[in-house]
Amino acid sequence: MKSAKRKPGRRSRCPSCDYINKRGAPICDICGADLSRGGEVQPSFLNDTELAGKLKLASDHLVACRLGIAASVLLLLVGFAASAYALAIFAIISAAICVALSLSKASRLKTLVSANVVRGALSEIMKLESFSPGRHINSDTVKGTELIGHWNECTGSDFVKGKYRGSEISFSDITLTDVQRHTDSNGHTHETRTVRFKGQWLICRLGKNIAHPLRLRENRAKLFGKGYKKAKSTVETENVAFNEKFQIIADDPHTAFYILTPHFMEYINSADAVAQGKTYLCFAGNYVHFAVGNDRDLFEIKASPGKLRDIPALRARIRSEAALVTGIIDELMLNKYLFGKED
Amino acid sequence: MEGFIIAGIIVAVLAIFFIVWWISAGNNLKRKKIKIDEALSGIEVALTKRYDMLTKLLDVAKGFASHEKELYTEVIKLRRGMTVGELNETNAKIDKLASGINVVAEAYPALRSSEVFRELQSGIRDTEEHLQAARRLYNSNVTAYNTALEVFPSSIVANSMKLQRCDFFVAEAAKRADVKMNF
Repeated sequence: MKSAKRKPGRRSRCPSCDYINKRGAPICDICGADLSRGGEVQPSFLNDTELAGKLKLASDHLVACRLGIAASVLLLLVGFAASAYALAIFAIISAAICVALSLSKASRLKTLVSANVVRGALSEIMKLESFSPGRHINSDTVKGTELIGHWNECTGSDFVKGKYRGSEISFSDITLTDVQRHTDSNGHTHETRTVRFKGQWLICRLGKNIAHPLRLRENRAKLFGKGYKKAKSTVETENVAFNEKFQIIADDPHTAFYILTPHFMEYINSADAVAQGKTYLCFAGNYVHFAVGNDRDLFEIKASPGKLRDIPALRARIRSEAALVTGIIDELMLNKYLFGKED
Repeated sequence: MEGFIIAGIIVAVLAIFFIVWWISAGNNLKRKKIKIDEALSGIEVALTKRYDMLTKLLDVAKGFASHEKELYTEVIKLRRGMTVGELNETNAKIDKLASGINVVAEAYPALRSSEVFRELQSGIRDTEEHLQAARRLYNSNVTAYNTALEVFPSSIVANSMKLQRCDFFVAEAAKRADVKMNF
């Protein structure tokens, strides 16, 4: 992590929550990280009362900005109606300023909540090393698993890194998009965007090294009747239901049978049930990647002042969303041998 | 005349198609058989690894309890190209060796807590997992092969080539019996 050095005349970006602080700020205004020491993550900085106070202030500013926008629009209409163009121009300028301020306040509100409520809730569940709302898992890492094909743009948010039950984990929201640009005969460029994957990407450290990658992709459910539309696998295990549910791609069939023991296949099925989305797994090197394509973003904070004031409810929602990730890990970690947790 | 030519062409095309299919089906069966041989070799490798680690463990155990009878077992000979039955037999002997070492280890806490012993035990656990994987891969390949021998139309090709079913790698009778609990 780059340390945020304080330079005269420059704002400081907090490496912990990405918030851009005022010039010369010693600690981050949002998460309390010590900027002079490279933004070392501090435990949840604001208690509920302090947070409620800051949220009220930020949401009051946001409401004021929105009222300003409304007033500017009214002024604009009056200006046009009365042919007072100077007034109309003034209204447009003030509306633009209010919109910019409103966006800035909304962003601050979201960052305030993310950095404190989300980070606090995550710290209760795991040993949190970092939480960055604006970052995501490295796209090269995602590409390296070869789980999802035909994409060229990777976006995401809410990168979390830490330790859960003694194992290193990291996860974030990820969206993989196939962006195609083509120019027609008139010289106009058109862009088509096809989302190949949207959901959570989880990486967990294993206790073993897997030399030959093993990939599992959940097959699509049949449109009519029960069962799955089976894609071609390179390995067929003895578990017929598992073979039908997952496409199994293994560079080395022996590795596939080494990992996919009868018990572990059941744990994977349970983890898939917890995931509530199309699941993908990749066992490679010292890591397992578990991707859930559920078309959702976790820890999303809407900058609605009314909803943000109920901090306990917000915290409960964040905890239940984090339980999606921890639930998956709990199921996978039942395989103590693979995760190096045996006595 | 034209009719004969057309009929002749159709017969020739069908004959070519049949020959190509026959060769393809035969090659497919041969490929499946080779996979079985490869998987069997994988079992041999896993067994050899397991035996080597157990031999090291045996030496460590003898260092602590040289007088124990269970530690003195026959030398197990592993060679290349063993059949499924021979591998099963060898595995049973290796299981007996492992059991003997565990019995002695129970009586010597110093042995059980030694770093070398624990590392070797962890290594043996890993080789046992690999052995299980090798067995399951072998059985999976045998299933695919035996199925191809039985289903129509590849069964026609299999019968003409006089191919026989392969045996599965089965658990020993003792392991299949109920576990006796002694209190």
